[in-house]
Amino acid sequence: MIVAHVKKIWLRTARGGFSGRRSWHKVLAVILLCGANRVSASDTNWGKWGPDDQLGTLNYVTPEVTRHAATLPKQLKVYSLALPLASGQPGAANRRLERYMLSTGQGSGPQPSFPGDHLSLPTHGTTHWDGLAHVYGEGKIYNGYDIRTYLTPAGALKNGIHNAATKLVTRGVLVDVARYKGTRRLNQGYVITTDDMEGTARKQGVSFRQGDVVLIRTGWLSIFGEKAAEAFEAGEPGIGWAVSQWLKEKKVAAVAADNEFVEVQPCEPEAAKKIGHPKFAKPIHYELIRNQGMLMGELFQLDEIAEACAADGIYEFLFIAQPMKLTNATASPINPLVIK
Amino acid sequence: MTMWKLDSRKLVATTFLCWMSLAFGGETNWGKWGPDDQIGTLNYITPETIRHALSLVRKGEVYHLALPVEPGQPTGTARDGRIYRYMISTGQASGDAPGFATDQLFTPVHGPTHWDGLAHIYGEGKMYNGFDARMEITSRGASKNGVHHTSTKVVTRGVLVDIARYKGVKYLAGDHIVTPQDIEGAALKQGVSFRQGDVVLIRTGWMDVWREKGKDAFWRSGSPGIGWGVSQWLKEIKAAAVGVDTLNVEIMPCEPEAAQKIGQPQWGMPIHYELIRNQGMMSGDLFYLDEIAAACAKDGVYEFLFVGQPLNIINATGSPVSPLAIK
Repeated sequence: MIVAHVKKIWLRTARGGFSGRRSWHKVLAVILLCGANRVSASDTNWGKWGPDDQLGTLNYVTPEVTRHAATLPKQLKVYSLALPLASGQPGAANRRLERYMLSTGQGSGPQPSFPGDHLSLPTHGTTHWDGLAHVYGEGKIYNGYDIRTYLTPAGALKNGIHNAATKLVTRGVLVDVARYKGTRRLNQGYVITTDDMEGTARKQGVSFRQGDVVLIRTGWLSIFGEKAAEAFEAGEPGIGWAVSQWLKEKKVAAVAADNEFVEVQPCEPEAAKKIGHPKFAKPIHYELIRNQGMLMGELFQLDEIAEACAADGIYEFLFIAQPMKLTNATASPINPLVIK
Repeated sequence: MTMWKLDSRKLVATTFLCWMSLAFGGETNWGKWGPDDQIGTLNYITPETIRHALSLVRKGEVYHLALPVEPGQPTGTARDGRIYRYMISTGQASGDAPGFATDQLFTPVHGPTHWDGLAHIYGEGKMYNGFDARMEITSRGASKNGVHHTSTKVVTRGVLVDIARYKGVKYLAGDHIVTPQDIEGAALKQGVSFRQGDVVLIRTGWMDVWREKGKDAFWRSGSPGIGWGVSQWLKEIKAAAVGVDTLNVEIMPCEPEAAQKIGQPQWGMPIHYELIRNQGMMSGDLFYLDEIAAACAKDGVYEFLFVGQPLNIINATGSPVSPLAIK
């Protein structure tokens, strides 16, 4: 509407030529038009929840959403969607993960003692949330915070993952695209379409609500262990530009998948163009995290819950995946729970 | 002949058990859930427990019961300064180009708000359920009783017992042993009772000492906590786990008679020994209970859905935890 109105002013003033008393209208219109085009091309959520917001689409999770989600469990069975937190697991960042014992039971006599262990943990090195400070571009992170001021060696002074500490209690919906397509896993480079999402959901008999966490199963994790780690990391099926916009439309709170990046790799070249960075390899991260303010969950283990959902035909559940209160961090390892 | 044999076995077993209980004060839960059990009192949480706990969500309000994971938190002398997180990449020199900021966390699993898992303490060469400490707690980790066995097991009812409020103090005195009478009295006043499978959260108010006097005062001098009495009370009510807003859960320094009861008179933390090793009960250290306490005092409801799943750390002796109370 704004665009149309500005265009009208532009056309009206253009008819009057570039000189005369109305030429300032024209200049103004050009400026407005540029701004309006920019807004409609990226159409971010910046400012939507105020200039100080650090939660993004988690704002869709209201107490009412949480309350409703708590009514969903029928089986009363709990599933963990976390990969083993250990070394030798999928994902490039996992290679920096180490856990070692500070003391053991070996050489012990009858006296008591406390064995303990220590973690060196990449925040992105196991099942985790990518937080809203994880992706920047044009000097900004989500909601327009300047990276020179707020993304420092001391950490992410804005959009730190700790802000989300109480927000991840909501309805979860599994969209088992691999099962829908009748395949063990989608192919590397396969772009999940909105038709895939809608078609799968229809077949599963589930629809979407504001504040959902949408869990997308590609089956891709199965390649890890079957083939070398390189095969897992060389590219993957995932979502592209269309589903990023669909998630926005549905007012989803967060999205997660059973692959390394959620988004298709290699990416769609046109998605990279849409965000204005044709050379950037992860345009959906840019669009969802930086522009929309949506957390992305990576390396979710969805096989067990997929079996359970297929068995009882119920694809909605209580989903709880609180991050650690990692002050000013860009991500958090999590142990997401599904309660059916 | 067969009968005689059986009887003699029974006799030996009975004698042995009597001797054990005389020597060690209480009965352990070893074997109660089978010889392979690795989750202990979390077995008290049944689907029915979960159903009831879910029904307690009335407002949709969520409270996070962890301290911030950052330097300067009161993690104890042995772990002080060992929690840190550094940035692997920032955007500082990026110009307009897009990129990713990432970080790495270093932390003892027992550093931030955490569960002490069932492999965290041994004595007489054994940990919970009789697993051999030398064989099963090696440099590779705890191959029995690892915390990952509990990754789906900590969804239940939580009950807050606000002893500090009950006693009308900001925080309990450093030598205050929380007694079963304290707990029953506070619960009665709060209008809440206990059920099998509860996670019992005990608030001493002690975190204010850290705020007022610093971390040294918080962890080094005597701190209030539970003693032998409450360790047996927790067993009686069939609690699934316990969490407290102090570094050690138990009274420090300990009751000498508690150390005698466990047969380790020189050992400074007998309640850890009794709860974790003997009963198979996880204990939660450094639980941040002030916010949930204020909320409970306001609406008068001291029970809620409690979700305190550990991270899925394979073969670990404990895990940082982000416990949620959902009202």
